Amino acid sequence: MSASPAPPPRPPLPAGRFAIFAAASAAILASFQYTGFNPALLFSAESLGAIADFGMGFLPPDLSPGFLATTLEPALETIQLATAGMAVALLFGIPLALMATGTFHLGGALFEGGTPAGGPRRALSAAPYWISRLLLNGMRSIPELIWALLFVRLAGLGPAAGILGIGVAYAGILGKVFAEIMEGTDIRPAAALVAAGSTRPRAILYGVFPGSFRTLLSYALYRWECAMRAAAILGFVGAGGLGQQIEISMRMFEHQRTATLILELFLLVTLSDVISAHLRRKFA
Amino acid sequence: MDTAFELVDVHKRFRLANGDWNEAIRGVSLTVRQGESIAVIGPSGAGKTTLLRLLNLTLRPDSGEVRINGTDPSRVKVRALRRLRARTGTVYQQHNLIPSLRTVHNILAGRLSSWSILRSLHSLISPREIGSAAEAARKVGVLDKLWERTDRLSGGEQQRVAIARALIQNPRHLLADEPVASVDPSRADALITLLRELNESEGKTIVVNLHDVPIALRHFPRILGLHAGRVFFDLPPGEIKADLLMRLYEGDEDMTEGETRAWIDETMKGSLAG
Ligand SMILES: Nc1ncnc2c1ncn2[C@@H]1O[C@H](COP(=O)(O)OP(=O)(O)OP(=O)(O)O)[C@@H](O)[C@H]1O
Ligand SMILES: [Mg+2]
Repeated sequence: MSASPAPPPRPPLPAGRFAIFAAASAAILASFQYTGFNPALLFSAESLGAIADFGMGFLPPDLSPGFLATTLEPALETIQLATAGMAVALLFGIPLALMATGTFHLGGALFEGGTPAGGPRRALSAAPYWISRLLLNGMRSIPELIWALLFVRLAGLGPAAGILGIGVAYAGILGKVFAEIMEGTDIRPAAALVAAGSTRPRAILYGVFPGSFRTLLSYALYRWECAMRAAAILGFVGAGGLGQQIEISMRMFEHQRTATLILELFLLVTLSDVISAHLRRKFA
Repeated sequence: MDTAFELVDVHKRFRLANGDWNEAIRGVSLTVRQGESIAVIGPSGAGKTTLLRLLNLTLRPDSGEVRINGTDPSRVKVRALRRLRARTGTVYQQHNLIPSLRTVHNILAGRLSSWSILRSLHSLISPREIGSAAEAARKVGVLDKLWERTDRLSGGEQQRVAIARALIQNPRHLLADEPVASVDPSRADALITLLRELNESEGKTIVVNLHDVPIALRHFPRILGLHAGRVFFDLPPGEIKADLLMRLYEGDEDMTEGETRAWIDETMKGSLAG
């Protein structure tokens, strides 16, 4: 038996992985310190009692037919607000995601004009990527509530401001996450299609979409569920729906009605979960 | 006669993980005439795949020139480049099929260069030109798998789907990287015969990377031996002696010298001159 040769030296790890991990842990601990939040507080006898008293006020939920009938329309409104908001988000989010997917624009795997060797052509080919990333960051950094308040100035009080608020904020989120899902898909099949003379859009349609469709769909459905919650919050600032009813009932100290409305919100989220599971199975 | 591919003193190197450079192609000059068929052989890492990728324009040379039918691809506009690329069909070593699509769509993907985006989309929903997809599938023997998801196919079946995709593209030149590596010997012979028939009856240029030396010698009139990024020999099969092969595969990491010798003696019986 001959001695096995020494393995080639391992290339150095990308610098600072450990440092990043340590810094992140420190940041998490520091956040608790800074906010003065003490988890033990939640479990003291005193606060447990207060929580129990407050909680009992919600029981039993008001299930009188008269009241339930009045909540039907707000519940529908919440679904509509969420769904229309998602439609707007997809309308802007999908094109932005296509621009923000690194594998489509950087590195040259999909370049119809060959791998840009460098210089101004390469920089230009990466422009859509950087511009869309910047736009998406801007859209995302402002929460939907603040977007909605801004749109109230433009469109007046009502659902339109809420739809646009959800639409813009969620387009920012969808654009980023969709781009990252597509980046995670093997680019070589699409590159093979470009190499055979196909254009980039066609190569992406065949080479990337089918493989990532299910994940894109499931994420979009999850976001629809989130939009349901967001729609409820927007109700607090006048966009209508269940949120507005919750706000009113809380202001009136009608806790049992609040409980009913919260239950309905729970049902909506569960409903979207069921629909999502069904659709994902259909497209499996 | 027309030249299909022309390489002049081409170099191509890659950046390694440790920051060094690996020169995969070191000054290759090569002329392939329209309608020729060539087998490229050589040890693992010799640069066969890299050479193929230079020919199908997915890699650019660091220096030297590549011309397709006399055209320098680095000098043409995007549309012309696309037409140039549509002329060459490639069968990849790793197949590069779309795993989640049905076989029929993977084959039809070979038509994308001549379809509009709307037609491409339409076909994903309801396949167009099923007849020609079925014909290509029949030729390579995967007709019964036409409606299966591609990732459910065996390795050899996937390889044949990749060949069918290149066939349906109806290219002038066909490049294939180990196209029979994952099929059984009798199937391998049949597939290479199929490629050679396309070459002889339709005048398609074919360049095939093969590690199966007997198949290469049996089917191809021109054999290119690649070693460490250089053309080691470029000969008709009749002039390739066991000694030459021995030196071509010298230093192959996978085999000791004795093993190489035994392998060549064993596999060359009857298919070698002298
Ligand atoms: N994208 C890449 N990045 C880095 N190195 C590469 C890349 N592609 C190829 N190489 C290196 O270039 C050399 C030639 O590779 P190539 O794939 O052309 O060999 P090959 O002759 O096709 O081998 P095989 O018979 O095993 O397929 C190898 O050393 C390989 O590691
Ligand atoms: Mg190879």
